[in-house]
Amino acid sequence: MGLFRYSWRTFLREMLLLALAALWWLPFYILTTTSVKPSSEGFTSPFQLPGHPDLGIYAQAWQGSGNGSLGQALESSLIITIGSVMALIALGSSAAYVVARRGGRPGNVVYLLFVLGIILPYQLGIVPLYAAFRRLGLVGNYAGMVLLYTGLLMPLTVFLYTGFVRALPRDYEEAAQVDGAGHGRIFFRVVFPLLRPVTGTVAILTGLIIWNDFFLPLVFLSGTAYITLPVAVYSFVGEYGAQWNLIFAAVAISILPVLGFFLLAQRQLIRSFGGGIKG
Amino acid sequence: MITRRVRTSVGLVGMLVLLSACGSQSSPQASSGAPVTIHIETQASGTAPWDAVIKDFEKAYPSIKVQISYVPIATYPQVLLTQLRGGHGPDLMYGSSGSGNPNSLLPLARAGYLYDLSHEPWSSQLPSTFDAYEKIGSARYMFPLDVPVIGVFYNPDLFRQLDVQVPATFSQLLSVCGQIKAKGKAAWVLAGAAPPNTGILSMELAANWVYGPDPSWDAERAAGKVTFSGSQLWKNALQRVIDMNKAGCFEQGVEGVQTEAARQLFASGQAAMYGLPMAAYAATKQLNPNLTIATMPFPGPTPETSYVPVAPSDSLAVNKASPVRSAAVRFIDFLARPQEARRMATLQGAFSWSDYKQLEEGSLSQSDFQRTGLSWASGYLPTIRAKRVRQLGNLLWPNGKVYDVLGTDIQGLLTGQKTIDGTLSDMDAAWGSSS
Amino acid sequence: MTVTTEAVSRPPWSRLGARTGRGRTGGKPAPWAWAAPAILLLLTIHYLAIAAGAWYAFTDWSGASPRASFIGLANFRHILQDHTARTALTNTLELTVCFVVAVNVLGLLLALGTRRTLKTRNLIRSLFFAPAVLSPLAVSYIWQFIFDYNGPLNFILRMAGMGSQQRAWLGSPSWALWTVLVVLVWQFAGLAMIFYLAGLQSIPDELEEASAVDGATPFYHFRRVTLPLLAPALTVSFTFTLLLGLRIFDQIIALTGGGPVNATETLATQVYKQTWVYGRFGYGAALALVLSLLVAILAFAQLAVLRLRERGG
Repeated sequence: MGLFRYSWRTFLREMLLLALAALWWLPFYILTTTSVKPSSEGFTSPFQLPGHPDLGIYAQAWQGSGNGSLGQALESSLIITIGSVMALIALGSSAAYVVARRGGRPGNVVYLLFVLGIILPYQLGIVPLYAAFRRLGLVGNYAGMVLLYTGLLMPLTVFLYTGFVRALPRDYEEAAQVDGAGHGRIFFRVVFPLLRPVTGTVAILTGLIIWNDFFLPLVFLSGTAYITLPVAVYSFVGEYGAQWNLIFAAVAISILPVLGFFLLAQRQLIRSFGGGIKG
Repeated sequence: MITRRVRTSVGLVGMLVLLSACGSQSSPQASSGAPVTIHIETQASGTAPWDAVIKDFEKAYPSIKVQISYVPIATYPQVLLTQLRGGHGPDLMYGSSGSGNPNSLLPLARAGYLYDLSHEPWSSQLPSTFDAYEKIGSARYMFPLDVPVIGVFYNPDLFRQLDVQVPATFSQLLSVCGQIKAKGKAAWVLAGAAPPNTGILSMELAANWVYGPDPSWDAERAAGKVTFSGSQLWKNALQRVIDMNKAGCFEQGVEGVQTEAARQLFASGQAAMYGLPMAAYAATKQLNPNLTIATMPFPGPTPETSYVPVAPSDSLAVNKASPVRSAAVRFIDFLARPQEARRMATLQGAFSWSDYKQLEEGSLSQSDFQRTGLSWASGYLPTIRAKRVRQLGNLLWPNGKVYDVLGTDIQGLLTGQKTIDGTLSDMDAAWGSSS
Repeated sequence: MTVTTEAVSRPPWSRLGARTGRGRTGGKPAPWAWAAPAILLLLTIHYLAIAAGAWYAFTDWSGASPRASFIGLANFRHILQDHTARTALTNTLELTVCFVVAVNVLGLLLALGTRRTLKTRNLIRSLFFAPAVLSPLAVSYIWQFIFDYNGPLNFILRMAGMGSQQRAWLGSPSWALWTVLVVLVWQFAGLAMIFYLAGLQSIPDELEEASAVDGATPFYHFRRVTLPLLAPALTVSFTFTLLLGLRIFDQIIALTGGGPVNATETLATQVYKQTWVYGRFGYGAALALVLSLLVAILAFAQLAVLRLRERGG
């Protein structure tokens, strides 16, 4: 039992790790303090607490740049991320269910096609996609971005779901089938609820990728009122140059939603990333 | 039954929901007199000039609404090209004239994306000097928004405060650098990590050491009679970068400085001089409205051999495929009116096309600078009056890569990764690569 | 509950390439129509678009002109002679190897360090993991400030009396790549830690205690008991960080833009620049093909090696 006792060595380890963690968060400390200091003080005393914190800078940053306010960008990011994640879950889980349960050669081939899709460089397809989306009226609006992300992240989604479904015992489904339930009922009542853990993983992984993506919205949404947060911050830096307090206020505003979400849902989040590894 | 219904909902409704908004974006046509919206895309610098002329235009043409978007400079060419390739450019687009910049418009014209403006009334009135930058054959593809002189912005208050003389020759510049550095400020600010800015410095050096003595050097290069690597003139020009670096002219850590930081250093009074086109005035003042800016040509071997590059670099073009093209052309026609052109140019900080003729003839006077609202830039007056004006060489180079290589390699000169000979042969290689 | 944990316990990654011939015909299997939308999206948005784009790798399309002519393998031959492409390849490999090693060593140490008994272990883990969920672009701006010549890092050096070590970190040919590495390790060490923590949780306490009772030294215990059981986590973490490392893009663009003079240029940034900045779409497409081949080969090779060790260990 001695292994897990809290000894003075454990205490030392704890202190050491806490110190290292504090060091890890130094960039965030610099971010917040610099944002509320006058522009000139940012460099002269980078570690000092601001004498007279100027929170007004956040109001100014919230106004955004010539390309729209950060509030509008936040809304766009939310709509695009939530829309894409919901579409991914709906279409991905049902597809994975079929792929996993059908099995056999066709199932394996389709599965492999999805897996390859993870490795293929989507960058190669951007210009053809842009042209096609333009013709369909899907450039510069939410629907197009949702469709784009749903397509681009479908391989990862199906991959995660399929692995999970394959490990699910069929007993419940077979029992339901014996009871005379159709496929739809079985999927919605029996399978989908069992998929909850991996649904969480899919939502978090794809959600983060979409939320943080920079290049696609830069290309597909530039010049519209629907730019997402990373593009808005980028434009902001382009316009306000080296006014670090203003830029850091914008950066802080842009990372706050994710950081907040992280603090609220960290258990689920950590499980999502580590989820597939036990055993 | 349930199965079928669910199959429909999962299989089809999902797609339909996603695709439903497809048809929602119908663009109104220009013809019927119904209100139309034209979309301008430009790179982010000062917004004030655009705000002013758009307001004027919308007042004059109430049935046309103007929407403008600013794309950060570093990605502007890529964003614009992607949109054009996808068949959806803005109706009006900003760009650099000629073909030698990453955001140059002539390559876009060659690819068939731009509308020929040569039948517009103002086209025939433009100075013929502009043709090389704006035309392919007889077709003119852009309107010159302003004509900047490219030289040195300096901070006269800082010179006074440090008790240092403003340099008039290159050797004075080098000694001034030492004096200013000893007093804890930077003499010359350079965004060493930003090729467009190191490029500007090199074009100013080229005006003095290449195009000054040999105004037709670019034509000879185009004809294949000379090369960069074989040119003593170009070696002289680039040697000056190394000289300035050795003399401690540049701010500390120059090789890592980006455009924004450099601009901020100058605007906040931490640096005395900055090589810029006049049109950067608005953006610089926006950072610090109290800053006094004065101008001078880049100090050459003697004051009499100091030249300034001048070119109609900032331009506006019309998308050939625009559904509201006639409204877009009307916007340019409006901008081309002498008063509007001057208003736009002055706010930007440069000359308008209608004032250029005088500039070219060397007949500009002090009162002209005042009349056009550009008296802050009258430091260029003696150089202009002496007709020591040169083209902005790089705009006429065959592709954007030569200039980009030059700008990048200058950072290499500062870090010691590149030599002058290496830089010049890189430029020759880029010249030959297809555009 | 048991069902879900059981299901979680098998890594989906472990099935890469493995055959799953579980063709049990208990009842009618679910209809293919359910998978149709996903497959349709896969075929159009991935395969069709990429095939259309990849075709340009064999052309001289400039991107600006509407015409493209077929030039066979000329683009690929050009890559072999292109000095910048070679630098980018070297940088990519150097950065990826260092990134994968550093992030996994640090991640493993953090996982072992915060494993149990610590009162604040959840707090510590959260603090280390937080950067991994943030936008690379936002993170890069913070670090750009830190590495600025007048910024906090040089400030610390001055305070520590090491003023001579001050430099423009992101503009230094010999340091820029390593400053990018620092940012990457800072952002993703917590992610590797999470992978290893998940692996550690599956090791039964009894095993550890038995080994401790036997009087094994901690290192011997780690090598003989913990590490072999961590093999699956090792596989996942290495694969994941390898893919991440080979494709690093946002951070480099925001921190150095590939400079000074290509010192931090990678294949991913070169693909982007050749395609979008220089408008050499054909050449950029060829580079992208090379990059994806490299990713595929390295990922599968590493997977094979690790899998072999997993079995043997």
